[in-house]
Amino acid sequence: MDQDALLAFVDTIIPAGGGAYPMPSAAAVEVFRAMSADEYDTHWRACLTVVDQEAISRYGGGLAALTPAERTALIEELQRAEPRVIKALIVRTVSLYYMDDLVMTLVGMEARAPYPQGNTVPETDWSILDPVKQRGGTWRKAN
Amino acid sequence: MSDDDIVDVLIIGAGASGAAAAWNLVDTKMRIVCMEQGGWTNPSDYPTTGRDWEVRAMGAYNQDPNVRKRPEDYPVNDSASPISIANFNGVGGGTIMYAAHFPRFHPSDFRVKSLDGVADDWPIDYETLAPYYAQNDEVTGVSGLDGDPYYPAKKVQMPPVPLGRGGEMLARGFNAKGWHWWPSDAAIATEPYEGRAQCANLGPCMTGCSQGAKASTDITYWPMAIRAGVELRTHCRVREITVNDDGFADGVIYYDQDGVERHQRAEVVILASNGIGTPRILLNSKSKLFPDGLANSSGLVGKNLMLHPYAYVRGTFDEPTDGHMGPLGCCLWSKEFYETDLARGFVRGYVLQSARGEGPVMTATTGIGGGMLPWGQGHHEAFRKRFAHTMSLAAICEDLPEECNTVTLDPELVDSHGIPAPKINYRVSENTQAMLDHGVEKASEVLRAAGAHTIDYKAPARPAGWHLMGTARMGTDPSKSVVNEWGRSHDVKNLFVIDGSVFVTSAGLNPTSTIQALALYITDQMKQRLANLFD
Repeated sequence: MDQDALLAFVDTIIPAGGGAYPMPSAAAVEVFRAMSADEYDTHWRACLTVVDQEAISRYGGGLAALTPAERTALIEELQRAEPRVIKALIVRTVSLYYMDDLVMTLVGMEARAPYPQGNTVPETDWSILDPVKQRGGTWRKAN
Repeated sequence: MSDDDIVDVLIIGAGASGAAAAWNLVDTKMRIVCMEQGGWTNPSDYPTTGRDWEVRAMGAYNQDPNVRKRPEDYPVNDSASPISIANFNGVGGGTIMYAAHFPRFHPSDFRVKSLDGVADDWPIDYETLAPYYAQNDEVTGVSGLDGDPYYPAKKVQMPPVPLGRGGEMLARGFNAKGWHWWPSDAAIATEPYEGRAQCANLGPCMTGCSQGAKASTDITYWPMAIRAGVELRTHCRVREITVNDDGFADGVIYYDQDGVERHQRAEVVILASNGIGTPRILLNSKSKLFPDGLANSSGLVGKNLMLHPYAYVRGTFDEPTDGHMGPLGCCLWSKEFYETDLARGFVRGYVLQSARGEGPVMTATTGIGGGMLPWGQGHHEAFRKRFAHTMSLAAICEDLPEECNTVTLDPELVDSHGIPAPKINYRVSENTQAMLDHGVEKASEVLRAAGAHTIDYKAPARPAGWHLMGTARMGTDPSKSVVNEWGRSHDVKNLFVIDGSVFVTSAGLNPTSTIQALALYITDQMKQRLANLFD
């Protein structure tokens, strides 16, 4: 299992978008491109190995050697047979993807932690509460 | 085992109730020690200080102790419950991770037997607790808006948390339906308050507030209590309460921060470990005098567990909301379905509490995990239509007490000190399930009236066991309750319980305000009876 398998997997989960959604493939974002095998944690590596080995046993080649359609079909099948394995890989993939600076910017966020700058929420015009006040009502008496 | 010097009052747990009790007892000049199995949290370590804030919320700052797995977190066997247990072990307890939605009970919540013929009345009423609610609000600092017609008059300290775009959309939906709603009572500073900074709308209040705007007791009650002389010992885990030959509590056996087993002697013991931790300690405190666990002559320690099943209903809108920005659980709420109307098919009721949206990581992981978002082709379009386009409503259902819902000691599972872990046996009753179904229906109606084009829901939501109540209930009859009407054990006259365990019924809303009002009330009762406290 090598980085090619990793990039093939994450590209299958989050491929590049087009048209109105020009998002990069997960395989193109820095965190995955720069990740060496040594940086995968044990669980991540073990899960990815399951997928890569399944590709080898079925197609004679690793995940990176398959066509996008073959990869999708294989992962869908494994999602049914090994749901925990695929869930772990997907959660890790999308977590890292949506923490990427470029990705955060493209979805409309600032690429930063929430603290200390915080966020702006529009102030409320409380006249929106007038219908409730006009309707009235009361709390239930207990005695 | 070493024996520590005797103290006047020993409080077990430094969370919502333990902090309030310690603060309220300082004017007695007694020697007060509080033991907390966790430590202090540092706001600079909270997830929102880092780019990985959403990922850390799934791990180290998860609400579920079985996921966090820190040494100070005891495991909870909740495999026999459709709702998993949430808590936090550290100074501040659950207030570190709560949403800070801070309503009071209503007068009717203390009288469900008289009004609706179910469960039991409390031995105290709203008027008894009202001054303590007010006192607690002052210390806590509550934002909100006076004048809710569905509450007795009360005072808030600060203006309400802004609704934001999503909240205003929901408000318009409620108005279109002609239903009650009101801005949340929130334990969140919307302007500088008693040294706390005002809310910066970071979003995920439930992983700790880096801004210090949320009123967790590590920054409200505890600094005042410690300055006044209370000794707070962190990383000290109580295993059991010990008793003398006369049947009085005489201290606790605990493990100190080095893991050394010690005995702390005490004249008075106060349990403040909430609805799971308190019965766990009582049941583990077996002796010749109390073979079934301490304070358990009624057999009710650990029984009548109430959890507030949640129906969590999410709407997706074409119009953008504020996404994750703003306090997650504090925006607005509705009591339209709070009081009993038997025509609905159930007794008692629920509030609808709004929740803002999720950040991008949670939007993607929960969306894919729940089948609402695809991975692969089509992911980006679906993600963009969901991210920062959702608002949710949670129906918080009043859970009625049932003896079959229990906390017991697990025969095998233990914590890092070898103390038996709690085991939860819990089922959702037919009445509650009918309430959940109704909540889904009504929340969906108002979300659609607000403009939602897609609805998804879970009822009951599994990761929603935030409110832990009823397992050492209060009452005047020793055969039907564990503590009396002022929190003292019927069986052990120098043992008190001041947390959610003593709740007789649960109401249909967040309990922290009531837990703290009870802690203040009970400790006030103790102060008024010091001369004959053990009679």
